[in-house]
Amino acid sequence: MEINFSPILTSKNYGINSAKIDDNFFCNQISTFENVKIENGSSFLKKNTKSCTFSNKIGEFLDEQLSKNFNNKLDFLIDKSSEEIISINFDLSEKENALVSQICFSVKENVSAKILIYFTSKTSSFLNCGIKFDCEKSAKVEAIVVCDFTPDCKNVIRFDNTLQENSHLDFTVVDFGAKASIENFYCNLNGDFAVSNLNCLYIGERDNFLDLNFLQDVKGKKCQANIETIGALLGQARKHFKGTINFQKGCKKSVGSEEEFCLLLSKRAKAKALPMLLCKEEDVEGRHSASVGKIDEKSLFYIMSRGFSYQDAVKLVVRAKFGQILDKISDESLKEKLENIIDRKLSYEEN
Amino acid sequence: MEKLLKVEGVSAKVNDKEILKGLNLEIGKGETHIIMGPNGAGKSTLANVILNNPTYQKTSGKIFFDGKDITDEKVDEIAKSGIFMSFQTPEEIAGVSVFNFLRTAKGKIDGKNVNYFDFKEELEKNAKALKMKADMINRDLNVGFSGGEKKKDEILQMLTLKPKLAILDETDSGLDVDAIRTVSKGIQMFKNDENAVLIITHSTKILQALKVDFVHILVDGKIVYTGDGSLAKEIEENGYKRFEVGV
Amino acid sequence: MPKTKVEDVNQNFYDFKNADNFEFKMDKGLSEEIVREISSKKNEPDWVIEIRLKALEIYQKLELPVWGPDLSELNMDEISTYVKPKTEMKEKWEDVPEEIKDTFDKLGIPKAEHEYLAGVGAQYDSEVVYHSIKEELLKQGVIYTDIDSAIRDYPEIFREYFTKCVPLSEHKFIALHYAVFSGGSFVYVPKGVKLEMPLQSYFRLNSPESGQFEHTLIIVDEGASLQFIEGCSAPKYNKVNLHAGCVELFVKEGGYLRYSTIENWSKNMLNLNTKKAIVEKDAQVDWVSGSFGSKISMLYPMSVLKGENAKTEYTGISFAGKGQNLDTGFKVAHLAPNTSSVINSRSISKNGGIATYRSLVSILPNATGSKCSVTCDGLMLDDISRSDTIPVNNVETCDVEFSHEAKVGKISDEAIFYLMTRGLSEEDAKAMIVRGFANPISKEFPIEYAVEMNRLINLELEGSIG
Repeated sequence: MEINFSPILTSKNYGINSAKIDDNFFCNQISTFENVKIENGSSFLKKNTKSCTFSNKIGEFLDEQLSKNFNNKLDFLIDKSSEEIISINFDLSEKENALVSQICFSVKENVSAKILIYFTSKTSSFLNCGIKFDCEKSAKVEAIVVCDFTPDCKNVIRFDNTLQENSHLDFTVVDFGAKASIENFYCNLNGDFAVSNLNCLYIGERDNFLDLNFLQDVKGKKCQANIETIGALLGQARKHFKGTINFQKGCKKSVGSEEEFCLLLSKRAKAKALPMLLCKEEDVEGRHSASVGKIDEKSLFYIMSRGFSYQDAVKLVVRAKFGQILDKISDESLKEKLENIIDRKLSYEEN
Repeated sequence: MEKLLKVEGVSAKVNDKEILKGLNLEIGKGETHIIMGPNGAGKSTLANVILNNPTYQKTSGKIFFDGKDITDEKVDEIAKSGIFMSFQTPEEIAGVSVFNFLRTAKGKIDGKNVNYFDFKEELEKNAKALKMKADMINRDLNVGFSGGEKKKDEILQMLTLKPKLAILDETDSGLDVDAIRTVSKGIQMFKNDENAVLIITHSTKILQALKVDFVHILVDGKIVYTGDGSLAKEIEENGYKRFEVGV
Repeated sequence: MPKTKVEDVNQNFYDFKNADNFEFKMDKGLSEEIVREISSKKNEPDWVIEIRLKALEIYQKLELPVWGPDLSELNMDEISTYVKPKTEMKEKWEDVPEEIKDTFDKLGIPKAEHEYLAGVGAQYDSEVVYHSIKEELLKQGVIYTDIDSAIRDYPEIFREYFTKCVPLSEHKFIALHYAVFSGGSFVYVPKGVKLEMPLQSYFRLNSPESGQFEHTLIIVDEGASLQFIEGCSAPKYNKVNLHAGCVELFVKEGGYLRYSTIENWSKNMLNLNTKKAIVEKDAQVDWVSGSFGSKISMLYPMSVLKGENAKTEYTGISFAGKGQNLDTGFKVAHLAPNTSSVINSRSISKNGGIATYRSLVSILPNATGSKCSVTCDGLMLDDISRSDTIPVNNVETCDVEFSHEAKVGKISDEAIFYLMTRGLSEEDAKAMIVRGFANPISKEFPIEYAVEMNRLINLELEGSIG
C-alpha cells in the first residue's frame, strides 16, 4: 500500500513519492476510547457535532476510517481569548490501544488561543488522527502536538488548517518516532497577511520510520509561510521529509522559507528529503535550504576537552540544535519534559 | 541666469507616510550645496524624489532641470539629462563587471558608442586616483565589495559618467579618515564651473577640502534654514536643536 | 512600474529549413520490421540487432512516466525514426553536398573547426555527414568517429562499453533509443593523452515528423583529459519532432572530461535525452549545460561517482519562454569514499514558460567522507510563468557534508532603479540583470559559445555586456 503522496510526483526510482506500507499494517479493529483528559478547554467543547471532513488525503483506508469509523471526536469553538493552555492528553494503553480521532478547532475573529495535544503510549498501539484548525480573521493560535510513542507503535496524523485574513498560526510538532510515524500537514493561507509557521522536531531510533509530508499553500497576498524541521536519526531509523511551499498565482509579495536539518547519529540511519518550492507568482520570495550531516568533530572535541564524555558531548550539541525549536515553546514544564525524553533517547545504548 | 535644478514645493510620501512637505531648493551651475538634517528628516527621500524613484510618490510640486520639467520623467531619462545620484547602499549586481556596466551606462548617457581603449584608459586612471584595487573594475558590480569600496565605486561612476549635477547621498558615512579624503579628492576632480554638487551628509569631515557655497538644514520634510559654509561647522558642534525648535 | 518585456530567445537564426531531401526516409511508426530495416541499412553485426530487438521489447512493456511534463502528444505512429541524408560520411567539407554544407556553414561549424576545435562531427537527420580530427591527435591514438564506423572498425572496445553505462531498461525512452539509435560519436582518448582543444559534435534535425536518436560513447582512459562540446538545433515545424539521444561517458582513474551542451532545438521538439557518466578513482567529470530550445525537455544528466575521490560538477541554465516546459536538473550517486559533487543550477521563466529543476543526490553507505553542495536559483520574469524546484536528497551515511540551497523570485525593484539612475532604460536594466544572472553559467563555456549564448539570450542590449 502506498500512502502519503507528495503533492507533486517525481521519478518513482527516487523512492520518496509515497510511503510504502504493508496492506495489513494498520489496525481495523477499533473499539471504544475513553482515556482522554482535557484541561482548560471544556467550556469551549461543543456537543453532538457532525463528522468533520479533512482536505488532505493520505490513503483510502485511512481516510475512510477517519471519516466513518472514529472512536473519539472533539469539537472546539473558541470564541474567547485565553492565556491558559487548552491541554488535551490522550493516553493509549493495552486496553485502549487504538485511537481514531477527529479534533476540530474553530477559532473566531480576533481570538487568541494556545493548545497542546499530547499523545502517549507505553504499549504497541495504533493512532489515526485528524486535527483541524479553522482560523477566522485576525485569530492567533499557538498549537503544539507531541507524539510520544513506544517504538512498535504506528501513528498517522493529518493536520488540516485554513487561515483567513491576518490570522496567525504557530504550529509545533514534536515526533519521537515509531515503527511508522506518518504525518501530513496542510495549511491553506487563504487570506491576505496570513502567517503560518510550522516547526517540526523529530527523533527516529531503532527501526523507526518517519514520513513527514508538509504543504504550505500560499494564496493570499503578503502572506508568510515557513517550515522549519530539525531532527536526529539513530539506530537504523529512516526518515522521509517532503516539504512544499506552493506559491499560487496572485499571492503577491508573499514570502516563504523552508529549512531542513537532519543529524545522522548512526551509520545505518537513512535520510531522504524532498524540499519543494512551487512558484506560479513572480512577486514572491521563496527559499529553502537543507543540510544533512554528522556532528562537527571540532565542536565535539572542544566540549570533550572540557571534561564531557563523548555521549554527553553529543547530547549537548544535539540539544543546542534542537533548542532552535524547543525555545519557541513557552510552557517551561512541557519544555523540560520534552528535553528529558530527548536525553533518554540519545542515551539509549543500542542506538 | 537659469538655475540648473529647481525643486518647487515638492511633497512626497513613502508607504502612505508623508516625508517631504513642500520642499524648495535651487542649485546653480558651479555651485556646491550641502544638505544636513536629523535622521528621518527626508534627506535621502529628496535624492530619490529628484530621480523619480517609483517607490516614492510625489503628491505635489514640480522639479525642473536645465529648464526642463522632469517631475514625471523616467529614471533613465533623468540620468541621461545629467543628474547622477550616489547611493547610500549601492545594489549588488551579480554577473556584470564594473567595467562592462560602466561602458554600457556611458554609451547610454552620451548616446554614442564608447571607444574601448580610451574608455579603459580613463577608467583605470580614475580608479587609481581613488586608490581602488587594480582588479576592482573587473569584479562584479558591488558584489562582495566592502562599504568603503562601494562608496569609491559610486564616485568612480560619477567621474566616468560626468553628470551636470551629482547628488551624493551619505557618501561619507561609515568611511575611515583615509577613505573620506579619497572620496573628497574624487569630488574635487569632478567639480568645475559648469557642473554642480549636492552633498547629503551628517558630518563635516568630507567638506573640509571642498569649497561650499550653501548649507541647507532639512527638518521634518522642509528646508528650514540656508546659510553659507560656516553653518556646517556650527551644526557639527551644536546639532539641530536650534532649528527643530523653530519648526 | 510598467511591465517590461524581456525578449524570448530569438530562434529565427536557427529556423532555416532545407527541403526534406533524403536518400531514404523510414515509414512512420515503430515495429520489429522497421528496427530490422534500420539495422540492415547499416549492415550491422548480429549482436547489435539483438540489442535493438530486446530494447524494442522493453520499450513496448514500459509505461510512460507518471511524473513530469505531459507527454501525451507524442505518438510514435507519427514519427519517422530513421532519415538517411543524401550523402555518405565525408572527411572534407568540400565533399559534403552543397545544401547540407550550407546548413553547417550558417551555424558556423566549419569556421569554428578551423579556429579552435581539435575535431568536428556533424550529424544531419539520422546520419553523420562529416567527421574529422586533427592529424596529430590521430598519431597519439585518439579515436573520434561516428558510431557505425566504431562498430565496424573498433568492435572489441565498442562492445565492451556500449550499454554498460546506460542500460536498456533504464526508462521507456532509453529503450526506444536503443531500438532505433543512429548516428552520434565515438571517442577514445588513450592513457595520459590530454587534448588542449575541444572536440565538437553538432546535431541538426532537418526532416519534419522525424526523430533523432544519436548515441555518444566517450572513453577517457587513465590520466587522459578531454573537453567535448555538443550543439543541437532544428528548424521549427508544426508537428512534433522527437529527440531521444543517449550519452555514455566513462572516465578512468585520474581522467578528466568536460562535457558541454548548448541545446537549442526548435519549439516543436520533445527532447527526452539521457546522459550518464561513470567516474572512476581520482577522476572528474564536469557538465556544462544550456537549455534554450524544445517544447518539452526532460533532461537530467547523471554522474556515478564510482571510485574513491571521484569528483563532479554540474553547471546548468535553462530559459523557458512561451509554450516551453523545461524539466531539467542533475543526478549524482556517491558510491565511494571521499567523493564530491557541486551542483549549480539557474533557470529563467517568462511569458508562460515552465522551468522545473528536478534532481537526485544520493549518498550511499560506502561514500564516507563525501561532500555535496547544491545551489539552485529560479528567476521569474512575469506572473504567468512557473518556476518549480523538486530536488530529492538521499543520504545513507552519517559521515558526509551535504547542503542544499534554493531561491526563487523576481528581479528586485531596487536593483532596477539603481541601474536606471545610471541611464539604462528599464528594459536594459532588466536585461542586464538577467545576463548577469546567467553569467556564472555562460562563463563556463568556451568564449565563442558564451557569445553564442548571449546571442541566445537576445536581450536587445545595445552595449557590449558579455
